[in-house]
Amino acid sequence: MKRKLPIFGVFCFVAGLVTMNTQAMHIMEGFLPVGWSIGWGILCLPFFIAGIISMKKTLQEDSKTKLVLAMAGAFAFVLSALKVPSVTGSCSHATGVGLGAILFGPTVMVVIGGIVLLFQALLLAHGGITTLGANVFSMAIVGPFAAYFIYKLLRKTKMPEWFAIFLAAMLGDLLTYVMTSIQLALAFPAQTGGFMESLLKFLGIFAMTQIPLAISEGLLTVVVINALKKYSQEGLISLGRLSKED
Amino acid sequence: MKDIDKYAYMSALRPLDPTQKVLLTFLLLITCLCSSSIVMFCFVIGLMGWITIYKGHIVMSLYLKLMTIPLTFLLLSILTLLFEFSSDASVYLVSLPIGNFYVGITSSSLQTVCILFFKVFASVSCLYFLCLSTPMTDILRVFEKFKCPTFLIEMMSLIYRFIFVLIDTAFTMHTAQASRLGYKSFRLGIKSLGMLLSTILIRTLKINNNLYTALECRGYAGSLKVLNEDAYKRINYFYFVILEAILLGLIALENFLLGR
Repeated sequence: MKRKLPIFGVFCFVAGLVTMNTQAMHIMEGFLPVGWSIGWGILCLPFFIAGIISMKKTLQEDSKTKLVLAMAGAFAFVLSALKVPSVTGSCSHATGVGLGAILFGPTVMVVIGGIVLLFQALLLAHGGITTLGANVFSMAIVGPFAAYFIYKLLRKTKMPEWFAIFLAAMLGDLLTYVMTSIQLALAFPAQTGGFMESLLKFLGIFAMTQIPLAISEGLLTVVVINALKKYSQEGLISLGRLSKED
Repeated sequence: MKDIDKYAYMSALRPLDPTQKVLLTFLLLITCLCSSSIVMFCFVIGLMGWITIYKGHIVMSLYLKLMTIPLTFLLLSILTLLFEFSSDASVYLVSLPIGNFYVGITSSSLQTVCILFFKVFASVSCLYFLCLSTPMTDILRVFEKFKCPTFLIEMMSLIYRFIFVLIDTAFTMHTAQASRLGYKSFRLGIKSLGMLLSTILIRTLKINNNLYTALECRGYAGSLKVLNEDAYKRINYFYFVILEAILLGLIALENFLLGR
């Protein structure tokens, strides 16, 4: 009996976790110490500036793309406000990282993602102002760049396209979650085992909510891109041009 | 989702100068981040809650509901921080053996977690003060005042406006699909949501073309110019200084009482 109790407790805990209504992993307001919040913000700046420069260049060639980009931002926001069905039966909010990166390219997504994250903090209370830097780094820089390069790399092999899209979106999501775990572990290393122990703990606990979400998001991205291709050849061409240019 | 935006427009605190509200929020946030005094955190939670609910006329139930949004993340990460693994049981206050290892709570992890819990709620209440009293349009004007590039502000205001164009359609479609059992199983759910998103994206591009034509007809040259009425109530900055002094006083008091 004595040995069964903790096992039962762990089971209840896990069951509680996987059925909880989860969001993507936004680090909430006030969670990071002041040094880390500023540090991640500074680390994001070069990417952000590069994103702005690349966006400005695109806009000079065709001012119409400004509205397309703004619409893309709004779309990313709406995507994150909708609930995504998850394998475990719970609902979670998607990140749209993979979709955005494949359609628009990663450099543009840094700026768009940054703005969307600010809006999420102010309109949905997901994330926060002081943790904006850390969140931008994991969700608008690491995620999109990873998804984009994985997609490009896999397209060179003989893999079917849908599988490349699935893997890119899923791995983009997973890397976002790994990055967030690293950020948390860096800010709060464990007393006994240091950074690595803390990282393993964060990875382990958040895996329960983030891995089902990543799989859902991978599938979703495939369905969306297939539908886009089928219905709107014209629309995709104008989107594809955007990602080609950066 | 539109709750926060709606109440921000309705808030009785809206006529206050947005720059001052942003400054106040940042002042409190920085003070919260830099300190680890639970008394001060409780004071900030109480003060911000009081201002938002009584001065801003925000419904109490909504405020409490909003406070639960960060709870999932907070709970998960706090549990992660609370328990530590080691092969030595002597460092723990309470511990549980699992194989050769011990899982337990150390006094320092307990302390970190307690401080973090209050710190997060104090900071979140500051964030809610800002977003439940200042609509996005006002916040964008603060950006403008602090010389943020116009290109970025333009982008933000466009995205803000487009969000509301899209979100109603998205939620209506979601309800329609859900009422036709579109989210009955995981497979169906993914299929329905994929249909929804692709339709919206295609529609977005179409709206976009029409919008651009419409704007161009009215002489759009890359920026939307909006008339700003600058009639805000301002509070004396002296009050900010007093507030900050109270907060620092509370921190000092707690340190003194705990004998640090």
